Amino acid sequence: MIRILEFIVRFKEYAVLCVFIALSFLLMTFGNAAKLGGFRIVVISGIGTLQQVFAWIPNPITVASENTALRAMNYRLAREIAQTRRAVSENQQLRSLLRFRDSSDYGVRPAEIVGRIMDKSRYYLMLNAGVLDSIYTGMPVVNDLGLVGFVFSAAAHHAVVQTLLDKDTRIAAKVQRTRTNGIIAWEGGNALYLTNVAKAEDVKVGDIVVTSEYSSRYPADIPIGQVVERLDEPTTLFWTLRLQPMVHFPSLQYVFVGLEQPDAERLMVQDLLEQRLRRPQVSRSGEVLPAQRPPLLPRPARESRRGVQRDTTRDDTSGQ
Amino acid sequence: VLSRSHLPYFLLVTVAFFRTQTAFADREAVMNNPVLRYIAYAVAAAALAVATVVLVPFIAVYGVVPDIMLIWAIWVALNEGQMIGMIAGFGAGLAFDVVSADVIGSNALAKVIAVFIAGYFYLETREREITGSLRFLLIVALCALLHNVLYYSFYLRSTSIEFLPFFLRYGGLNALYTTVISLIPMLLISRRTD
Repeated sequence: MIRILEFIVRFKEYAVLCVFIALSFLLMTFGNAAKLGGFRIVVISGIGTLQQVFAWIPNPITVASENTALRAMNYRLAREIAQTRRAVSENQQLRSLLRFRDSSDYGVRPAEIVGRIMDKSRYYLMLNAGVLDSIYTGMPVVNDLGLVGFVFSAAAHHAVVQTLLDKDTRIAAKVQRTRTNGIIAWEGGNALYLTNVAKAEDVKVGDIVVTSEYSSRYPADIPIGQVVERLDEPTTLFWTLRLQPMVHFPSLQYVFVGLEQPDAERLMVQDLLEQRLRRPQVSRSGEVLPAQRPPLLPRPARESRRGVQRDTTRDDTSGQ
Repeated sequence: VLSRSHLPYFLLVTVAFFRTQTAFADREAVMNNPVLRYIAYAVAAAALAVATVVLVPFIAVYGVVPDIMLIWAIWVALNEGQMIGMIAGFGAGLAFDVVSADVIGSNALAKVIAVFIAGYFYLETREREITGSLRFLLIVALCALLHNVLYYSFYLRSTSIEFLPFFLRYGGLNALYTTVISLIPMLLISRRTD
């Protein structure tokens, strides 16, 4: 026993390092910071209040790009306003005739961005509205141009928004013109990628990509981005489309939170499926088999752009 | 990238840092008392954690921000040794995880290991010689790179994102920016040592 103690004392730095590493892994099993509940809410409230104090300071780096984006938007809006007026009246007539119910007609709550949490490659927005303003975790966040992200966690007066520029982004989306479905993902930088688009589909540069009805988190038909490049992958049967996001994230000032929470039952069923896909199968002889795809998802796995096997059937994997 | 409009922010940060240094220099008695010194470290860590979330985004360049908590933890390791440095690194990482919306423990793990390596450069009675010289920048650069390799290994483990381009875009630039920012404490300590 004494020898063991002597050994530990002699190599105490390594012992402490091992303890800290073990503790870190233990903490990581908690997973997402949002799962800490009350404690997290207290921290968000505190940080939100502090960021609100400093919200008056302009960010000089984004001012130039904001000006450029606003001018471009102004030009585009001026051009589109005439078309929109005509389209609105035409649309109203058609709706009354067909008794069409606008599926995207949901309530929104405006909110101001009072801070940005930039942690290496993560990009979160802090809103000045929270649970007391009927904003809850999971609600979609949009602006006048398109989809921004969703409410990651909400406190009484503040909420954190996870933007599309996040490695966990998986959104069921479609090309607006042809209704071709795919999955939106982010791989760094300011671009988004629409994957799983069959080469037989008619997709062109300039097409607008919007959220799909298959998305369990977002309402359908919210613009996400515009196709700027069609990446040909000779070894696969799919296109990967590079998109320019509709939203200019550095210059965001105000957003709208869609007062519509994701369908909890749908998310729960999706989680069960996810768990089943991840669970290893055991054969009769006791041998552990790799996770198998259930029969209701028939599409086969394909080789990704980088030659890595990727499960293409997992549409909207993180419940988005 | 940098324009005249950035000047007030850099001046503000520099003056604030200088004033903090001066305040501590006037309180040698506090710094000689181990308990008070550790309390001062804890207060500094808390202040830097809040500054990381509230103020550091204002000096972001193309979305890349410096890791001032890592600089602080390395500085503690070079002044106090490996053991205290690891405690500081773990605490700093944990504070960073809490105030940012990150997975709790990921930054703590990366910072503990990075600071553990930094602790090998600790030389008793020659602390200022190291922290006030170019060696400090090299240590920060090395540890920041190691920190980011570890962090992004965990960060990207469940994704299909290619590690190297992503790491160079975010981890590499972050390490570079962190090294550049560590020039400020290095120059201040160097001036005081002279």
